[in-house]
Amino acid sequence: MNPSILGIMQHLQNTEHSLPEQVYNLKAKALRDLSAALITIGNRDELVQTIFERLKPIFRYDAAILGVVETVTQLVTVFAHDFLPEMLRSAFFQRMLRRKFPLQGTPFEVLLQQPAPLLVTPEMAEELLGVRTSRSRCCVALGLSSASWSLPCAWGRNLLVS
Amino acid sequence: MVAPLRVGTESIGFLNLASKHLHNFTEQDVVLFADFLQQCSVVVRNVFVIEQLHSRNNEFHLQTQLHTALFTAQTQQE
Repeated sequence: MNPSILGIMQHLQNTEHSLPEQVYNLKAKALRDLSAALITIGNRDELVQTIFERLKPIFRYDAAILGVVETVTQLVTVFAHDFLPEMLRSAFFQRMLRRKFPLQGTPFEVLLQQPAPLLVTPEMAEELLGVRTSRSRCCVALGLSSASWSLPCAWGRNLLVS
Repeated sequence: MVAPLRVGTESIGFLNLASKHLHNFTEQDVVLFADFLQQCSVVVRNVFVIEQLHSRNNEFHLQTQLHTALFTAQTQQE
């Protein structure tokens, strides 16, 4: 990403009087640049690392998870980035990293069936607290407002049906 | 926010971004996120398929070497 674009974007995001349209256009430009850069990468680890590192200043996330399905085996490999120190100490997340998970009948399958991107709102996160699965409890304890594992819970509670 | 990675009608994965801050992601971010995933899904699929092919090729190579070694040992015993 062009450092000057990144600098302007961060300045606008941090300015009280920033114009949403300007921020949007700069983010769109940064994402187009990233897409172009990814085409030149042929190595799996480098690709994953580049996606994570360059999305970070654009969306300012605290943690990211990429899951990729193996076509033949239908197993999902999970990659994580910028996990917070407390997350790394969590037994649940340690079990999850770099492992392959079955797709069929799991939350991952529900995730892959989503027709469109999902923004997990604070209200939805609050609702999910009531579901009290071990996974959602873990995320809430760590203060994360958005998490992929919350999706199947939400699905089960008809929160996503529009 | 979370979204599936798709190539055509095939779902090949998902990307989830999580934040500690409420309202960190906007509806506009979701739109941008979706556009980006649409563009990069093909690249992700290609790179992972190539890696899997390399891995299977290596396994096949090792199996061939093992078979050859076993066959040689058996022949020598006979």
